[in-house]
Amino acid sequence: MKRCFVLALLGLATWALTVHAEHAAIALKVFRVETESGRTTEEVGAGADQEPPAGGVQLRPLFKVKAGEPLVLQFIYTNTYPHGVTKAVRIRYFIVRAEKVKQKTLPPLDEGVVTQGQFHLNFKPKCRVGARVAFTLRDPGVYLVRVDSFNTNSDHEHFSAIDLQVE
Amino acid sequence: MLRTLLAGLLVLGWLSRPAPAAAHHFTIDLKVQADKATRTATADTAGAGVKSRERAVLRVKARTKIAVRWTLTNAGKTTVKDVIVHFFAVAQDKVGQVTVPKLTRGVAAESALSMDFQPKDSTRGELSFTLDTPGAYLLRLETIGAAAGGEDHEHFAALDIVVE
Repeated sequence: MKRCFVLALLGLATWALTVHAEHAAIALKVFRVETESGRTTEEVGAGADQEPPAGGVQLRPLFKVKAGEPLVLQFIYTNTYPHGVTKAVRIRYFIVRAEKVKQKTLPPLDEGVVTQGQFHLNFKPKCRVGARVAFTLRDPGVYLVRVDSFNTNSDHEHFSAIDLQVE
Repeated sequence: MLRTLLAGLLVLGWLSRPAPAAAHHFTIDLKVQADKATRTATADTAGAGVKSRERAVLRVKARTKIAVRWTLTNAGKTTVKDVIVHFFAVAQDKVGQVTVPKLTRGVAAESALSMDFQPKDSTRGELSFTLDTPGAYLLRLETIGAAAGGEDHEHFAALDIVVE
């Protein structure tokens, strides 16, 4: 996994699920994981979208999972803006409880957060940020998986999102 | 005479310079928190013949939320390009294990980013996750490509977690 993940960041992996936007390409995936072998099986993926408008314009994928099953979140965010360095960019990801599928407004991140993280860095053309986090959803309901950018020196920001429905 | 003395001092200064492997061009602060307990680690050097420091150990109960924060800064005077900053939390056979486990399974969290580091440039990261299975885990933040980018070694900081 280490080699695969790092090679992906180096640009040697394929990008089947990536949708190229104006300034960013995002490949966001959620995998099922076999407990015994650790292999990933079924997955759902989403590409880059942008805000405004709130919630973006792309149809958000829905992934139905069972409570308690092992899952993995993975994203790779690529800066496709070709001109110069952008300082102090923030890339954030999270999984949080939502009220409903396709919810346009972001749930507050002060409660119901399953996992979250963020990275602060200087963006240069073609630079990448990625993470891969194992998680389990124990309570039925709807959850939002999202990665988004801040301070990219543009009039809009990019994000990618997937809805999880836990049964 | 004066010229000879100056030349001698220059040669002496060059000969007595710190060994490259001992220099820390990147500083790292790695902090892990679970409940009210915290552990921290700073930059170590990875390279042939370099013995690593003993790692701090954090003991937690299974399913406790674990929060990791790290900062990596170029404290050197030269720009280092195309550095990958790589973090991972992975199951290991025992606490203090010297060999780094393969990341083919047992990985709870992993992240990576690529960046050029001018002097004083830094990057920060935060992640949260839970460890459901009891055992020993290694948390490690490392540079990949710093050696190729003008340094002769890589940097890392590491901690151990024991899940009970």
